[in-house]
Amino acid sequence: MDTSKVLLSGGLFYTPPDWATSAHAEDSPFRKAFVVSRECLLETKWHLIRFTSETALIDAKVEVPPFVYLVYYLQASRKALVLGYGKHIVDAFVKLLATSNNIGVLEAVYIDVQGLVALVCSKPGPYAVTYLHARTSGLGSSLRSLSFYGDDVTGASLYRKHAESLLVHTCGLRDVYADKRTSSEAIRVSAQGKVSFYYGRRDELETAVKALNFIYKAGFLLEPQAIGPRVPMSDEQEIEQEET
Amino acid sequence: MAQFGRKTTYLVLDSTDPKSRRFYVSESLGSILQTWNSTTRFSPAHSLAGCEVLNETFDGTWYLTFLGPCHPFDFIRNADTTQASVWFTLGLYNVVHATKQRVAHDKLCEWIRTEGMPSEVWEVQDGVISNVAFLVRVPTAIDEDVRSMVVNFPFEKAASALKPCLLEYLPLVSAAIHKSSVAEPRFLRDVQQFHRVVAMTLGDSMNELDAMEKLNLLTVVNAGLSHFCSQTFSGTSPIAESVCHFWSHSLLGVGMASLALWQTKWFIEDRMSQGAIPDRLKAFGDPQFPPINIDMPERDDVWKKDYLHTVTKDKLPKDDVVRGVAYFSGRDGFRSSRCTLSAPLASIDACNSQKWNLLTLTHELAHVLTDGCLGVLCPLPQDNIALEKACRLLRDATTCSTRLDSVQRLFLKGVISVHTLFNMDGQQTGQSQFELTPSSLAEAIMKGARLINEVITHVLDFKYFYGGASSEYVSSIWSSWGVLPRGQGRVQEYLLRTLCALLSNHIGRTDELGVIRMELINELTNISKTETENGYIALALSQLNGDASWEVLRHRVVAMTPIVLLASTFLFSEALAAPFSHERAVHSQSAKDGYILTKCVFDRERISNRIRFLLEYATDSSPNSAASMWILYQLAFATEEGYGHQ
Repeated sequence: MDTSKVLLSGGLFYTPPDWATSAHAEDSPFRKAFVVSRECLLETKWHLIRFTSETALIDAKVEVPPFVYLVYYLQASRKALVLGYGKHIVDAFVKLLATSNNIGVLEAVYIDVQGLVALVCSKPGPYAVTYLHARTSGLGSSLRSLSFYGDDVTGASLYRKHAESLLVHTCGLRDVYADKRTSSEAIRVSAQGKVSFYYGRRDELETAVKALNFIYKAGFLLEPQAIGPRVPMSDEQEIEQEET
Repeated sequence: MAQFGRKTTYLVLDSTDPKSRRFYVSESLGSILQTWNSTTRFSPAHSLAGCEVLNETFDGTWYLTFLGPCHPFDFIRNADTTQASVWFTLGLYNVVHATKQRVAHDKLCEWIRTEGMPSEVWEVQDGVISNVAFLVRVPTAIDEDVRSMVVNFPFEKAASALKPCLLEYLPLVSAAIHKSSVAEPRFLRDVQQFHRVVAMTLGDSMNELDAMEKLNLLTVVNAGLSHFCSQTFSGTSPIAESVCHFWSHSLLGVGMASLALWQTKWFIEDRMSQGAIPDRLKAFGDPQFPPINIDMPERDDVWKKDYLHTVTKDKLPKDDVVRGVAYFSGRDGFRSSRCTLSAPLASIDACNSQKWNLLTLTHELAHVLTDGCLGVLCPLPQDNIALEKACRLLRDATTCSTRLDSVQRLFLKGVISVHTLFNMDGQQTGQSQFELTPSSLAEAIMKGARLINEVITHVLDFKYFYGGASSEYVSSIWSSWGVLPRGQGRVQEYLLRTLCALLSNHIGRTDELGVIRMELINELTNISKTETENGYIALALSQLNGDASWEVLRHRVVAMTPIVLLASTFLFSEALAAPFSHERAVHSQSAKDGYILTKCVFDRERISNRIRFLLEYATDSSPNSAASMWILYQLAFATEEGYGHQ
């Protein structure tokens, strides 16, 4: 494992439409007491937000107040990608953000991982599956779940042979054009909207967003209470770093 | 745990007068050369780490024991090394134990006798050998039919052109058989089978008409056997009476390196034999295997099935893979023929490095596999009946009555595609109409045969031996090409072969050609960071990055696509590939694909998968004699069961 990289994990959330506004607006969702500072990551639209928590989020035995933590935040249209050095930090931030803006809870964007993996298998394109974790279907308690790891999991006959018995809920994707040595996995996503990737260089933030855009354009980000067949999104609604 | 010391020293034997032989150890090659005389021989060695002895003149009374093949861990578990000096060598006597203590020496001899291990003991007084004793293995029985074939070969009636070579071959193969039976019985099976094949090919050798063809065979065979015998059995008892032709190992030979080479060969051959791919391909000619539509687009499921595995093993003939003689050669490098296989001499002292490790053997043996498959698919250019049938298959897919017909049709489509899209002089002819006749098809086959053979071999090597791992494959083959004297002149062909191999992983992917281009650029860019000795990598990158040069390459890859589809769909089977990568000695939390071995250290662990081991450990950028010896030992002592003795 490359020890110069850290794992960023968090999730994709739906936000109110008016959140996609200027950072300096009076009614910015971030002008709240728990936000210590907010800065833009140079040449990107990512925000680095430091916030305080009332309780220690990493190790209560070691940490002393004030409990200040960092999250990475990217807003695009009605969705926000929130990442931190631990999903519980993100959960705490999102909860604070929601309650301080009187909206109850920020809903996670569910992802049709099953469909995503099936697409990559049947129509291989710019991404390959590097990891998948699945529950089994039809095998009872004999074999409840399994994980696959590799450069192109859905290219293996072992996967294809048993695909119909697998209920994939988490998968990792890699960009097939990227150098495997420096970029073995672009992003890992789960059906509940969890997102994670290893971060060491600035361009890895862009790589992760690009992968999410691929998932979005293919129509696998599920609208709240979505039912029926998925519909690929149009380009205007792409998760871009341009403000709308 | 046993560990090699990092420094090389030399074990030297010479005579200052015919009746006395002197033995000493020196780390200075210069001083050895200074005192070199007509009897001098030497071999490099590594001490046991922690008690390295690089120089020793053996003043006083010493007891020296040469023994082996013996695994270093087994040795230190059973021998007293506290009152001794120990060196490890590349000869079949791979351990040298020297002590002044009679008790320690006797204890060692008792263990050696219990194990039945071949050994030779020297009593040395002030550096001069005063007494020699042997413990040799009871010879393993030689098959009676082989003995009879050698003894009763009709030498006197042979064609005159063949007699001199036969006069060399018969004693040479006798020596190989008898020395194998005494020194290392694992060689005996293959040497005997080798002779059966050669004898069958030679027949009675009386016919003057085919004498030249047999002469060519005998020339290759004699060179191989001669190298093998000298390299492997020099340095076995009586040590002082043999000389290895490989002068830097002239005292003790390179029997351990030979054993490592043969172990690797056996590993590959056994799996190829189990897979029986050419036989399974031939079995597709049975009517129970219906024809397949090979005109489907690349994304169709027809290209994703494992067809070879549908042939059940009990329906296959019991033929075995022809097992040849393997040896090291400075002139031949890596090369395979029908009954010989060679590796470069440089691999002996540089097996740890990517440029000189033994992984290229997989390519050579993949050629044997390819030749077997093409023997089933490719009509002989002089066989008009087969060519006419081939033309019918090409004209009308409905004439395919079996799966074999469909596969052959795909192969022939590939032949025509290669022939029409670029001619064999390397000029791009563009799309042109191919007038299909038996003679034009024969011409296309002859012109395209070598390159098609190489592309199929590369795909099979990539898929079976490298498991489709592009990084490992590209760095391995491009490192090995860098040492070829004509490497730079063939960069474009190497690029084509590599791209075709990579394509087999991306059949049906959107922009598959763009993906493999990028993949190869990434891999070669990584290699270029360490490969600075010649400019062939830079040349390759410029060809990939340049638009015009890429367009030529892209065109050629497109022309080869039917051949890649053929190899990856009908000559490759994931199920049959499993034994090629199976390893018994795997552990969790390993950074080395399941291995937890440390270079130059020996414990009770034994590897089983020689190829997988080389992929993980023979990746250094520069040669190192201690690391190379460690790798050769690991290969030589590999077992099918893996792990070690309890």
